[in-house]
Amino acid sequence: MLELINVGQRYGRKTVLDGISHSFAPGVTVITGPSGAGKTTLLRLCASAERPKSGTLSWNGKPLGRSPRAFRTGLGYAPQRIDFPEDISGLDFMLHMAALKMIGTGAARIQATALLDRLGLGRDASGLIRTYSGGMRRRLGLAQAFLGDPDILVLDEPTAELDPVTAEHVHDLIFEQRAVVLMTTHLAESLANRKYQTLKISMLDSVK
Amino acid sequence: MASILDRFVVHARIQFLRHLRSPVIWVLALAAPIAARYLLPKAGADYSVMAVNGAYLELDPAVIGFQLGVVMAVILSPLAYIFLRAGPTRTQPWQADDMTPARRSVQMLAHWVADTGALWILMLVLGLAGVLLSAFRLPLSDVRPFQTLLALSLIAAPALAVIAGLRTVFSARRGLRGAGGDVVFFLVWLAMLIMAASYFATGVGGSPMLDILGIAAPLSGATDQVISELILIGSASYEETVRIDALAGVLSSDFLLSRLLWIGMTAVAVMAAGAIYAPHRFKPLRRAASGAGGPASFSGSPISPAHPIGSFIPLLLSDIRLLARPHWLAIIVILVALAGIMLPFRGMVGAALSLLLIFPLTQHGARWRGQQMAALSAVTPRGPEDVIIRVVAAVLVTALLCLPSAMRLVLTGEGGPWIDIVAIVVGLPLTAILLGHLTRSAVAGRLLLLILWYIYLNIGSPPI
Repeated sequence: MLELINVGQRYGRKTVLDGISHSFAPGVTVITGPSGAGKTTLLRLCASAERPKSGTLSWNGKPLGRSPRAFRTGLGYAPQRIDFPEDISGLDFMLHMAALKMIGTGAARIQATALLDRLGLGRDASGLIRTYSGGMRRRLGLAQAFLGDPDILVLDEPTAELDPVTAEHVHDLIFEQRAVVLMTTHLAESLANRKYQTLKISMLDSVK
Repeated sequence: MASILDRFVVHARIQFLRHLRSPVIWVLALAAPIAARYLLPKAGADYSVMAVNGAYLELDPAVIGFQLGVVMAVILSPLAYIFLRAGPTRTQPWQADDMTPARRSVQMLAHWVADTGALWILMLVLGLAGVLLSAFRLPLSDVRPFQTLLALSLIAAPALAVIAGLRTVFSARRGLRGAGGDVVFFLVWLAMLIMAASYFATGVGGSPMLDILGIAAPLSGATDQVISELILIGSASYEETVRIDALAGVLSSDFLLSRLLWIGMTAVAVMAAGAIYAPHRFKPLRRAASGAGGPASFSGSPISPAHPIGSFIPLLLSDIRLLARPHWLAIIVILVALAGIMLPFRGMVGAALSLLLIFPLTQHGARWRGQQMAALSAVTPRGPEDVIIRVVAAVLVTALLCLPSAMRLVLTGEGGPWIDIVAIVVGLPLTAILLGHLTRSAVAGRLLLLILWYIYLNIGSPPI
């Protein structure tokens, strides 16, 4: 379980989040709120990509320290944008991300191939990333997050730039995870038949 | 419709603000006074920055500017190129830009003016540091800020404008936007040095137009001596000093005219590059190569488990695998390495191998350093130490490639080339990977290593 206690974030003089407390249990939690409310900042904090200016985050009761390797071993994170290395193939990228997650080479290849197949990139796995379309890059960025059977998945707009059919496949994959899943989406209506929690953040830094 | 002048101002302003809003230019501006301290050594220092015919230049306010200007035009000009190619303006929004009806010539001229402006700011900071230092190197009554800045500017400013022009021209053609442009810049820079040297050879009466960097002509004009030797940054220390009239050199009408002409010709070249601008090409996926066409197919099969094993070995293996990209280059490198069994290392296999390795090593050093990519790697368990593992992988690969030559050395009992092997196995990967990591680009490592490689080729022993 991921727990946020009075978490706040500030960039210079601008306060983006203030006093957020929430517990994320296994299952999908969709974070909603208007543009600029701090959804991406909240996800970055939960992915340990930033440290909060105030408050604490803890994973299974242990606070995330300066270098939370144990937490990161079970983390899958897909940010909104990734500037991919353009001169390698999608499979190469997946294998390198698996290596960064300390997954053994053989198991990594099997899982990476399966994930690429699952997200409709199997045929193009050996193509260079520079030849990928926007939607393919989005799916590749998403696929790497699922490597290593993560205990917590942090997905920033996982279905942006995807057509409705592809988005549905992505949602299928997300909702079959047993992990703690935090995601943002502008397409909450497409999740109508699925079971999930909602965390709403507003522009005035409060949680409803 | 906005006038051409309006569009020029808009493009130039945006490009210039991108420079100013980046921390890179301010870091360099902070580094400039420190550099000036070492470029103007105290009397009795055990190294020389500029020596003419075996003697130090006798310092006066103009000579201080002159010395800084020459170093900036010759030695710091590749750094200026790296700053422009790998710095805050390395990416341009071409996806949108290429679709607009904007005149490329106006846009490129504006970019050149902005880039030149950014370089001139750095030059002025170096000059001001020189003025400050002149108060410590000269009697206080001799300090003449105007003379120092004038001598510096007349030498370095046109040279920097030419460097900025090369960057802009290279951005116009597809083959020059990547590594090809860096190699061409290296060759042009070498050619400019050779042309300056040939100016000394022709003696007084040669055209200052030959001296693109603007170092030889003012030096020749500043002294009656025939310049037989000019050393920039040397380890030797000299007993004697030589007095030159730096202001006479930089203010000679021929030299001033040649500077104006070079700036003008650079502006024309930049505008001409706009006329032959080739839009970026988006390369769509060649589906025919990877299977049948049509929409993507999604499998519904379950994902097999793959748990972290807690070791750095997978990352090491992945780095080694990625160093062998592209495969065709890897095959050539292996063939050259194997030739080491029969051919001498120094001057042959070592030179070929190090030249070929510069490109994949620098590329791999920068490959994972895009801003968002780096942020993503950082939250993986091996992210914090991935650069160390990348260096280890690069050293291992380079060592393996040098193995055939090492075997030959053991068998023949040659001793000299061992230092070359050590420099290539350790120095090359370390420089390539760390510079790529720090600058987030392959340009700095590529250019610096090409220059070091050229020195190695000429002096016959490793410069690092």
